[in-house]
Amino acid sequence: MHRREFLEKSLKFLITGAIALKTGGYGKIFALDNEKYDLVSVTGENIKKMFEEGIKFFGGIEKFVKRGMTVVVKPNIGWNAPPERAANTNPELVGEIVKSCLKAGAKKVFVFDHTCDPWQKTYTVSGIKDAVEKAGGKILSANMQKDYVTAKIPMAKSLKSAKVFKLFLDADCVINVPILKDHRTTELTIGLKNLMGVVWDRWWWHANNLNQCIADFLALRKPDLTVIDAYRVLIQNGPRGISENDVIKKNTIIISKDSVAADAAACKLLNKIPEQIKHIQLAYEKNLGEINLKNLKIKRIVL
Amino acid sequence: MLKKIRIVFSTILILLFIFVFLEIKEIPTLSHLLAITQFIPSLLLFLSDNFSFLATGFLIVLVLTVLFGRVYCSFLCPLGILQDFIIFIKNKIKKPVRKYEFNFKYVRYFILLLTFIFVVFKLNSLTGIFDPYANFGRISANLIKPVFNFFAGKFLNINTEIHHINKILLFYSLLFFVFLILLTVFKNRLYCNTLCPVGALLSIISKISFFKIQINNNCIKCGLCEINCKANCIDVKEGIVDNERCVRCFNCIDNCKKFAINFSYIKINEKEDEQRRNIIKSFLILSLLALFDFLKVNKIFAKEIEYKKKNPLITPPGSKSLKNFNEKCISCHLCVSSCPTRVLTPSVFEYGILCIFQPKMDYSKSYCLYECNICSKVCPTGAIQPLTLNEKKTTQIGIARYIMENCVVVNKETNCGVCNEYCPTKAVKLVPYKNDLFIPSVNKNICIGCGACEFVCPASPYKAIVVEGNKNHLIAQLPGLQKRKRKGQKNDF
Repeated sequence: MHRREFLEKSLKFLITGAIALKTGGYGKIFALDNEKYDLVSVTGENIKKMFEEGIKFFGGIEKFVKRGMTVVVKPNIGWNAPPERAANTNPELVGEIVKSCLKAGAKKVFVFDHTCDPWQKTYTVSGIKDAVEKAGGKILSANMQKDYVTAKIPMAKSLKSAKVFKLFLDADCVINVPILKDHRTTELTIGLKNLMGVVWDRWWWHANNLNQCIADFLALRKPDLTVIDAYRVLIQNGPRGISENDVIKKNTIIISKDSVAADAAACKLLNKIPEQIKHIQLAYEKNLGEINLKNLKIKRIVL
Repeated sequence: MLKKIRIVFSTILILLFIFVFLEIKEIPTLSHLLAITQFIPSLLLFLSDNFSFLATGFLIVLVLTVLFGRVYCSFLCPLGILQDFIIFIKNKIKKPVRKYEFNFKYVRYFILLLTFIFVVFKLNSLTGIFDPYANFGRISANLIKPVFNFFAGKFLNINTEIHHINKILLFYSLLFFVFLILLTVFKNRLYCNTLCPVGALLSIISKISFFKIQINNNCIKCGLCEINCKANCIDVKEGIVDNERCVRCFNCIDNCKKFAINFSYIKINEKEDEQRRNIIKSFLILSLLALFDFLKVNKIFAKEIEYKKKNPLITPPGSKSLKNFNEKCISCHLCVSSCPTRVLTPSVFEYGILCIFQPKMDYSKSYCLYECNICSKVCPTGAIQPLTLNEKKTTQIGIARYIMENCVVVNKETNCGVCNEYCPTKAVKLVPYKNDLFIPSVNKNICIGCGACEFVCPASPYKAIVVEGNKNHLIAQLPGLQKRKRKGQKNDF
């Protein structure tokens, strides 16, 4: 190794290290005792209370949302179905998260989804618009192409670039709030699949190895927090569902910073093996998160 | 006073119409009620096989006309009010100079006759070409709405989407609108007195109306009434008012400083009395004829439009059949404006030249929402008949057909399944193809032809699943609603 090369490399190393420590890595390395758990699951009847209790094990929402931050909360609001049909995220949960973010001092909390059915319908029918506005958040339509920017996706195998909702990239904190649902093509739709709702040209994914695309997309921006709604679960005829007969109650929410781990845990709720859900396995293979729950510190609470 | 009442009333009415057509808030009942105050839609609804008492709007208009003359034209007709608005703006720019004009009586009688033929032979799309309400609807839905949405999106920061503008309809509406503006600027309410079939019919009836506008002895021939008359029907020199053409705007009364023109009950002399009797008689005979016609004649003569096309266009749920839809729709595009998914789009000649501008379901643009029956609620003519939500969910307007050669699963060997994902009844199932791959298969008994699968299919340039319309709508079976056994609380997690 030449002297010059050595100097260059060590300088780069120093700079990277310094940046990493400065931009939040510091907290993660030296403040471990505040974050004892990797994953928390809460079972109970009152979903608001469940979130409130669960987030405490991560040191409260304040650990994620700092004063003055712009926060994006991304629920699933894809379908024109009321909460009882469990096709969209539980509105109470979304409302509660928005409220707690604002309480923690967030400047603005945005909620949106690139819906499947017309957004004017799904936002109201799902009850999410009401819940968000009541909590003081702002709900946006994500059905206009002008709000999307093209982003290159690192380490991609199939999805090299995508048109992404600008706010998703600009926000200081992203909280993914998917609902656990049956899905014929990807077996289950949870957190990773829910992120399809921030891209414009998502039908392209269906024609180009959907599972790989879902796994690829996570590398663009990992949500800072994932809260999985498994309160009501659509276990057949997903992801739209036909009637309330397709729904069972699991009364659970799963909270984790690791999107892949959260999805893996949700799989197990329905007695599925996470490694067999292709997009989750693919994301794990790309080192985007932990699929093996044995390697995680898990807290299970029953209220 | 009367003028002020008219202005307040008509302003409220047109604001409501615009509110409805711009779909600012979705109130289907209001749309329907507003639309059936209109003469031709309510007449058609009255004549249709699903008679409803709401459809007596035209009878009320007739009674009002017998009593007061053509109040419909200034109080109820949205196109008339629109023209009044144009005149209002014109008067702001330039002082009105109007004069008594020649009466184009025979033009309007000819158009009335044509309209009568169209209604009898159920060529109602052609009725709609002249009908003021349908014209207003087309202007609102295809011109005003896109323009409004464009500016609202740009300046008011309201989230409105400009949905697939139909360029031909936009051009037609623009052309008609410009024509109307020119006509109004130069000749005031000439449209109402030459081209409008409703105006023509009401002008005949207003001959016998009990209340009339008349110039009395106080007149000093100042000509203010003549200048302000929107229908150009006052001749001050002769001291006559042509009550046939008068649209009852009451401008003359409001402008007269000498109380020399009034709107009052007219005692008629014997000659006029005879005339009145004759008109009532001929009207009765005409309606009897019409009744007879609807019972028998039209079954023999009604023109059968060729329905032998292999893949007929898809008509909205509630329209019963292609035939019913083609016969009753006047192309007012109220349903186009109200459709939340914008799947209902205006056609041009696709149904044939006799069914010009009637809406169609365009699955390349959108799909029919499962939990929605708004178009059936708003339609004022009975072309789309009311359906409850449960009826709609089983109304089969077409059947999806899978075309394997186009499918991305077959061509790219990748799992897709987006058709199954969107299918509201899960009539599109996924079945094993080879290896780990799954292809769709359609259960024709459950499929309702909503077109969600066709719309979302990512295959290009040709879709791998397309809906073929039913000429006569059928009832689909309910999707299997079997309840899964509740699994115990135990799970792997």
